[in-house]
Amino acid sequence: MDVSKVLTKTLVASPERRQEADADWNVVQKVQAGDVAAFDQLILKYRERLFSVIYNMTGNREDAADLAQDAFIKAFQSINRFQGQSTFFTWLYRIAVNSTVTHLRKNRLRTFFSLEKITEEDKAAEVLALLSDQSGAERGAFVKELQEKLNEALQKLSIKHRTVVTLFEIDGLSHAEIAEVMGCSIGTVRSRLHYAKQLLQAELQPYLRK
Amino acid sequence: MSQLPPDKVTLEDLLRLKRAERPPAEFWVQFDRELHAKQLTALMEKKPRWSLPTRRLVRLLSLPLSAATACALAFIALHPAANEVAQTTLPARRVPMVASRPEPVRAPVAPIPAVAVAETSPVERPSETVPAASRPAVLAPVSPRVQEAFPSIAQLTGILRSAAAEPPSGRLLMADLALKQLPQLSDATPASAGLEFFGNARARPAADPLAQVSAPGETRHARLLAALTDTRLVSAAEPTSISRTRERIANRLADEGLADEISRVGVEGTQVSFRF
Repeated sequence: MDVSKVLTKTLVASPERRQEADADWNVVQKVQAGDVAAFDQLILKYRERLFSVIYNMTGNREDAADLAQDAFIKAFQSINRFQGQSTFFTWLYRIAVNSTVTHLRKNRLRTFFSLEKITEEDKAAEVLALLSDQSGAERGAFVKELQEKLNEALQKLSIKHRTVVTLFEIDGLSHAEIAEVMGCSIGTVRSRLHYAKQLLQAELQPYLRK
Repeated sequence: MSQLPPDKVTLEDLLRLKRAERPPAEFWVQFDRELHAKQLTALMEKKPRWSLPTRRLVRLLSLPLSAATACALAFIALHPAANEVAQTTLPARRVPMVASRPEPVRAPVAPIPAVAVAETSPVERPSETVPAASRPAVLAPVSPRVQEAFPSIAQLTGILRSAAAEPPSGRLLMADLALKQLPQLSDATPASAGLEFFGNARARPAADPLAQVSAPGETRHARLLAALTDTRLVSAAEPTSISRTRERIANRLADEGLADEISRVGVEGTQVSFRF
């Protein structure tokens, strides 16, 4: 890792992230020492986030589950080569994103979507309330339609643009972290994000209220 | 976007809905089960340490190695000098002196003189005749001198040598073919020449049957001549000198004198007696 990357990471990473990274590094060292069961802590910690990223990239639950499991297995098999030069979660994300990109390139023509149900928590419930005045079955149909439109708009993006949008808007990673995961510069990440948002806005115009 | 302004939905708000798409709790139970199964499989099927470097090395070297092999094969196949080297380095093989398959005759073929026939057909002796079946059809290699002087003979010998491996009918056919290709030997009938060659391994000039019938005196003369040449000139190496000596003796001796000389000599065991 060169100096600029280290500086970028140091400047961008928040204290919570740094603590998180230190905790992960301790667990990784345990696994490297032979405590295989310690890897379960890392699985429990990151499985939902990792699944979410892959699911939003592929749009398929089964594929996302397989790819997430494969990413954990690859990380487990290669954990002795992890030197702690980056945080564990960016390393894990990189494995998962690369596997997913390879999968998407291989199965470009085979696209089956299986959407998860939206759990109407605080923010999501507010957005849905703003978008739809209906209730009951009509509201359910509207939510499903919105979900399909969102998925369709995401799938129209290229794999790289979709990855950037997913990591930034849905998973909440910083530009620097996305750059580290994708192996590109922060400027490239910003550029891709800007272009992807423009496309998505054009696609989802009927649902936007200004 | 912690506080939403009323009646305003942005793209970020819509994308945040995607974050709310979560699988049910039972999904994670199955996920963990499958993941542990895969983890165990991965632990059991641990690859040897040398497999990855070996695979990388093979992947790295496969292209240059295959290219070098292709270049070497092309060089060996196309370069004439390399061909010669390859032939000399091959294990020693018996190269036939004359091509087994006759090449078309391009140079003008010289007519075969009588000496050549005498060389290839020594005097036939009745005592030496062996049944054709019991005699192997072995042909001596043609000497380079003969090849130079009589290329057609060398060619014929080559054809017949190659035909020696054939069955009798094949030999006969090949001999006929060879004789037809050699017009200078057309005085002998092809079939009979082939038969004589493979049957007696000697070529005889064809003659009129009536001319072969001789008077009793001539027969006796010939028998005596043969006896003389056998006893006195058996060590002569050149067939031409044998025939010349025969002629000289025949001119010098009269028929009766020769008979008297022979009848006076007697051999009994280790003693030789002369009558006067």
